[in-house]
Amino acid sequence: MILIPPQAAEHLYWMGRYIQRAESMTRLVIALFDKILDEDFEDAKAFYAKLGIELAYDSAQMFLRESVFNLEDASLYNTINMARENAILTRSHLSNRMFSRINALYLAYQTAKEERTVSLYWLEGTLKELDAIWGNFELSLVEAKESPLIQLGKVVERMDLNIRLYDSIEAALMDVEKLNSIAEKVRPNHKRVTLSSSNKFKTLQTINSVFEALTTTHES
Amino acid sequence: MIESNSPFYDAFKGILNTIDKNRVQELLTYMNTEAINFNLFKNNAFIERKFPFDIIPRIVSPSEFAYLEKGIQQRIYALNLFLEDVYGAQKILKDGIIPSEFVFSSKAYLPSFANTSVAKNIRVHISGIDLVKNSVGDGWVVLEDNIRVPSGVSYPLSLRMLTRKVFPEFFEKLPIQGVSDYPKKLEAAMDYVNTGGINVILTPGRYNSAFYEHSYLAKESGAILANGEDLVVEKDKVYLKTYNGKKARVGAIYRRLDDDALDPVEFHPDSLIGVPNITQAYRAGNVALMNSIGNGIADDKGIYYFVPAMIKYYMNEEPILQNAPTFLAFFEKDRNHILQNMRTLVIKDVAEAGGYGVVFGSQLTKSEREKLKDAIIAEPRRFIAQEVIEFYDIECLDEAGTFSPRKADLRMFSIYGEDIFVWPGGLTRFAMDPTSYIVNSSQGGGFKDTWVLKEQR
Repeated sequence: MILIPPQAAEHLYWMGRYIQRAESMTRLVIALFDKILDEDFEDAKAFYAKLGIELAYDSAQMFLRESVFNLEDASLYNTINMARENAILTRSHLSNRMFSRINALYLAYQTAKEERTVSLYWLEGTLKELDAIWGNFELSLVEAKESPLIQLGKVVERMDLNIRLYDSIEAALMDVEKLNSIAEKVRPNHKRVTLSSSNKFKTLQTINSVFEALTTTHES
Repeated sequence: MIESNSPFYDAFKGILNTIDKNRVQELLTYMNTEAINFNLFKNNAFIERKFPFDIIPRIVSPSEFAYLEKGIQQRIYALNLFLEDVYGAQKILKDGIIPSEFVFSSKAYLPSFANTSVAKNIRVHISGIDLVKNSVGDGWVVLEDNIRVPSGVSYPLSLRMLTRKVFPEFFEKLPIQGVSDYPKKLEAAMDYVNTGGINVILTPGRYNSAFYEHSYLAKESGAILANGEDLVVEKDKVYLKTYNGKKARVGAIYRRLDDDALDPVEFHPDSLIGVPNITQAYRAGNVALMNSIGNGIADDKGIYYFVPAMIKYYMNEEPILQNAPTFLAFFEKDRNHILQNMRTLVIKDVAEAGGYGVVFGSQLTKSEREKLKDAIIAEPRRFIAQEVIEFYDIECLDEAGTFSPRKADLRMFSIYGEDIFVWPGGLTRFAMDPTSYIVNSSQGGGFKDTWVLKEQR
């Protein structure tokens, strides 16, 4: 029997989601920074508007500061903070290395925020740290029983962002098999998910309800 | 006053002088990266707080530890017998060693748990005894017996693991006893009283000051860390709910929440962190709770006064460790002494903990003193008074690299399983303010590791 309580399972799942969100959004911010410099100064505003976020900046550097620190719930800082909160809540399930890598990244963000310093070079460095967190996690045997829950969060977040940010249901569909395979590890009697490319909102709803469906009922 | 020079501190300083002090910063970075926090809840706000630490340890000689070990084992054994008695035949009350009304008037005494038997007759599974070393007479004095939910063991344990990595020189050159087996001893003690099922550490949650410790001990002892919501009681048995719909029987719970929060059906109905009906499972003998319910009567600050008498009564032995000279306002003679000598005494409210409710009479204004006198006369059971103990300072290394003295106590942990294991380490807490005697972590105090040295052959 896998002895992970429901709350811990939820935090592991959300830790996976927030780490993936941090990675995807960091890559996006780096790409938008280049676009502001090289192509269309307004491009980042339009992109964030798609997420319902009003972003104001008068320079590429200001865009960087805003997206990294100042967008409250949507900032990269907050995303890392949430990943770390979930890691704190589940640290008895994590390897020390996994936990301390996540916490170290949070501390790096906190220091940068306090010192009001951020550069693209620094942000690229944080991406390397995120890669290392995933790499560390893939190699670790400590989180073996927790692994499917974290992986589930990772794949759900990636599918979700592909649809929300890039309107790419096709990209999300490519992950369906992986989603089902992980979900079966989370719960062997899992009912397989099928997605159609026709309805964006229904697809989002289906993807985001997978975890809940896997963890609701309780048998004696 | 700093404890007189010992060859051990000289040896420590000799090594310290040869190493790069900047490595202290490295240690601090590791502590931050590992988030070894002792959080505070102040003015309704949660403050995630790094637990300030100092690298200079308290050093305890082999003979001193042997003495403390025997004294603590004796004390815990007597306290356990007292709890068995007071929730059973109550012989110590009937024989007039402790006044019955003194016990029955304590909020910590839970009559509804009278005649509830516990696995292996052990009630004091985990304890943290607070001691200071008196500069007058050079002897150790017990200040408090913490046998409800004592916290702190994970901090010196974590610091030790990191110090070994950053400053291996000390561990190469000094015969320091290892401490890493604490979680395994905890696991063994849980297994010893387990009634059939898994081991669980029950935490109040993320916003508890010692949540780090709960996570740490769960991970290292192999127990499952659970919140109240993760546990359910069915037919007087406790189960851990798992995310995939299964339930696992729980046989032992190291609970890190107080009695009144433990079961909303039995105690505080508003408790959101407890487990409904867990006390029924406990009464039925279907789960072991560590520590047992109702232990508060034995570490009540007033009952502390009677611990030497308990040792004589139950064990027919002289107490090895001494109490601080204590006066009970409950007794008329003592009360008069307290009222006449308030300026020279420390007055403690028995209902408070964590350094709260401790008042130095010398620091009170006249009107504050009068107000406290009125409170003592109105509710004598609530107060004890102790003579101020001039306990030793221990040196701390400040940021400028200079040594400065601070008042420091020692919390020694023990685990009662097949036998009573006294951990050869401890949490040395020090006052951040050089003029203060209050060392409690919840009042902003810092901590040090405690190095118990091995006998050298």
